Amino acid sequence: MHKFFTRLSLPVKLLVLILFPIALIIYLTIGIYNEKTTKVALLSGYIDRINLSSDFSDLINALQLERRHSFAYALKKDLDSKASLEVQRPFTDLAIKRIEQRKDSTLKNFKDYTFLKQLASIRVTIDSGASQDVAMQYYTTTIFRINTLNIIVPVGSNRYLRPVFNDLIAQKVLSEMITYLGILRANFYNVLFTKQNMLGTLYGSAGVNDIFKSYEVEFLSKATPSALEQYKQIRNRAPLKPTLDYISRVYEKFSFDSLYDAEHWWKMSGEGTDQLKGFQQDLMRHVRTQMEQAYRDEVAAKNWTLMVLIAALVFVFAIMAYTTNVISKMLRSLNTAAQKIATGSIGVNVHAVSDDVIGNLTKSISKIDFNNKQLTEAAEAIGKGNFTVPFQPRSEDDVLGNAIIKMKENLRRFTIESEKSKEQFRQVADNAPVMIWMTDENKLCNFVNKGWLRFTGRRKEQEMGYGWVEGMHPDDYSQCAETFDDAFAERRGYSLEYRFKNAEGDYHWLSETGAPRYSAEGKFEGFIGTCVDIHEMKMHEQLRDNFIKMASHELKTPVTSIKGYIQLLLSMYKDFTEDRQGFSTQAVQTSLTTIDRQIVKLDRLMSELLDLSKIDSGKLELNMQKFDLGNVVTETVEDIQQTTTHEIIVKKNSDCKVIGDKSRISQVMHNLLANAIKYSPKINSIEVKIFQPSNNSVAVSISDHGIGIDKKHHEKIFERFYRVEGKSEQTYPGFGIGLFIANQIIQRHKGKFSLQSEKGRGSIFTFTLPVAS
Amino acid sequence: MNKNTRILVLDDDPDIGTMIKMMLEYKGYSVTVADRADHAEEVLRSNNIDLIIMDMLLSGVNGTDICTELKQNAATSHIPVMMISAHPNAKEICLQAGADEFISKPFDMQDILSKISKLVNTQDKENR
Repeated sequence: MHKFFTRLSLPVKLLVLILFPIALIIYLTIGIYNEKTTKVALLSGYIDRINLSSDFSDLINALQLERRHSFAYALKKDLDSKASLEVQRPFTDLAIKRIEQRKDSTLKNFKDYTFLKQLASIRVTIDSGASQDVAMQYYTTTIFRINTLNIIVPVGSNRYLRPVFNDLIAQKVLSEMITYLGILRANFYNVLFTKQNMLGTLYGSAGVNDIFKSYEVEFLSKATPSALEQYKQIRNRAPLKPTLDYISRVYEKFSFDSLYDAEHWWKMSGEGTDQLKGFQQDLMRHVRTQMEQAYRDEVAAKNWTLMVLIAALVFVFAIMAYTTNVISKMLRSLNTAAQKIATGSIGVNVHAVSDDVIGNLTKSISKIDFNNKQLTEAAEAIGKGNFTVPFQPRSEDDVLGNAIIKMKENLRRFTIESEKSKEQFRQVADNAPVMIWMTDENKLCNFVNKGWLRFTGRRKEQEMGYGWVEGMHPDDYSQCAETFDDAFAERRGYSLEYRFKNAEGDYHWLSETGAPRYSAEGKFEGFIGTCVDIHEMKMHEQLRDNFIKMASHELKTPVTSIKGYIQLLLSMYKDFTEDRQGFSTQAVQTSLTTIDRQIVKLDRLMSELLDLSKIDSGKLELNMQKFDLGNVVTETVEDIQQTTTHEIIVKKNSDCKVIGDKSRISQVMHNLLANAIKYSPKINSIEVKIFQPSNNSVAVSISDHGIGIDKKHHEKIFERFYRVEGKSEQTYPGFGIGLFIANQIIQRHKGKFSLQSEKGRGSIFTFTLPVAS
Repeated sequence: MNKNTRILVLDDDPDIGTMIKMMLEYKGYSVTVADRADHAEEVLRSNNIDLIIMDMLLSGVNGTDICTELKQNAATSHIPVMMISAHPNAKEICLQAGADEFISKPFDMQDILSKISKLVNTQDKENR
């Protein structure tokens, strides 16, 4: 049941709420309406009774008149009485008929027990001259009997009857009084007219007089003040006052006197009775008017009640419908607001207008909205990095508020850490020995590190976007652009080598490695790349390539020569053994001599290579001894002079002794002289000087007039594999390690090499050695 | 037959030049050796040379440059050129420079002789 009610929609719930009071109101309405109807019916009944009583009063009145006339006729037998009787009788019949026409079930066959059935026969009897006693007895008993029917049993407590209750009682008492007064009057008339049976009549009617008086006492005690006042006026005035006074005097004296004759009495007492009757009818009318007014009031009240109830019903229903509508509307707006809040919107704009549950709910929703707004503002501020935004959880149970505070703290920490890591990245990037750059997702450069700027010698702003392109070697640009564009489009890593202008304006070889970079969410953010200056390495590689080229040439040439001669000799020998022809001693000698010389050359080349390997592994051993430098120089020159057409002149200005490896110094001399010969193809003269630049050092210089060496090569010429590259130099055979080895040897002797030379002007190589003490 | 075939050998290493000269003369060719480019030019001007054998690496000048010059010169372009080098990648460079044949150091006597014979025969046929 509860479950069922809970599931009903709100309007239906409210309708159910209304239905019960409305049903109750309808029930009460019907109850009240029924009660009113009952009361109206009751009143209607009273009025009927009063009307009936009035009819009975009329009948009694008619019967009394008929009795009076019948009594008069029976007594006098005159035509006047007869005529009055004839006139009265139809009125009596009419009064009877009126009662009969009421069709009141309580009055069924009322003529049987009220003697009215005998009225017709009595009338015939009277018309045929019956005595006055017959008429008197019949009409009196009939009137008494009908009087008992005329009983209204008013309920004193009935509030409708209360205002007319006394008048109702009073008119009833008056009616009794009239009946008894009628008997007394007729009896008195009979005595005064006949002057007979005076005492008999007095005795017979003394009880009637007592009853009349007792009714008067009752009237006086029960009638309303206004009725009493009216009664007193009638009572103290003729004709009632002398009538009643006379009756009192007769019964006081207990004898009739002759104050009034029969006719005078009859007339006066008749008028007195009529006066009393008129008063009684006035009261009756008053009662009826009052009751009818009460009835009309009650009917009006009943209708009014009905209208009020219907109006109340309509009003209640309207109020309920209105309330339902208002509540529904408020709940709907709250529902809309709640749904908005549920979908995460803010600014629902609802206002509490009442102080009830809905009002409180509205306030709560407003408060939720306000809180959401605050949370949103706080979250937005925090999102923008404003961690000083004033925000406090509303209570310990404020899960969301606490979560935001926690989020703020975490975010602040993350931000600090992120700033820190950014700073670390910047520091790392700036201090890295490589050049680092980054682009955005549109290929535009948006970062270069200090290493980059150090290399290019430019400002950061100059490199942003495509500014850096200016540094690229024009010959390398298109190939680099193609590689980079492809890698960028395919979001893959790549490697490149290209020449780039450095701060001095020279192009240096850079090795670049680039890769796409992504945010933590996996969004492509551009490329990052590093560049390393590989210029030295590149140059070194080139030197090595040249070395290999030269080495193979230098080594293979003697081998070719040796092989060729041997094959020639073999061929000759073969021919000789076959037909003893083609063999010349000249050819054999030349061949063998050349083979021998080439083997020496090969040996020297291999020694050089071995020396290089010894120097590289630090195992070049020197056989130190004290010797005369001049002698070694001269010996070496003489040695070489035999193998060349160049003229070597030795000028000896010192004969110092040095400590060192004789053969190594000789090797240095060999090397320098071989170079001098090799690089001076046109001028044959070479000078060798021995001199002392200072007291503790001795120097040897070798001057030629050959092609010379450009100044820019002077520093590097003693490096391994270095060969002066140029149109004319590149084709001179040689390992490019001779000077390197020579320099190493002199350095090991704590000596120094120096070079004076200009391109095309010959060269002077000089080495110094410390003088032996 | 070989005696009518005149061969110019250009090599700055006199041992190599002499060795080739002896080898070819032994086989009956008529051989002139030049150790410098200018000598070679003289020889080419004054003699009717049928074949040039030259080292790729000469002192002071590049052998391939000389080869290109020879091949561009109308007077010498018809003469077959055989180039010799110890360099491992030299063959391609030499053929690009216009050399008709390449032989790497150290070479086999039989090899060089057969290649020379081939070049000379082809030349003969073309001349006819």
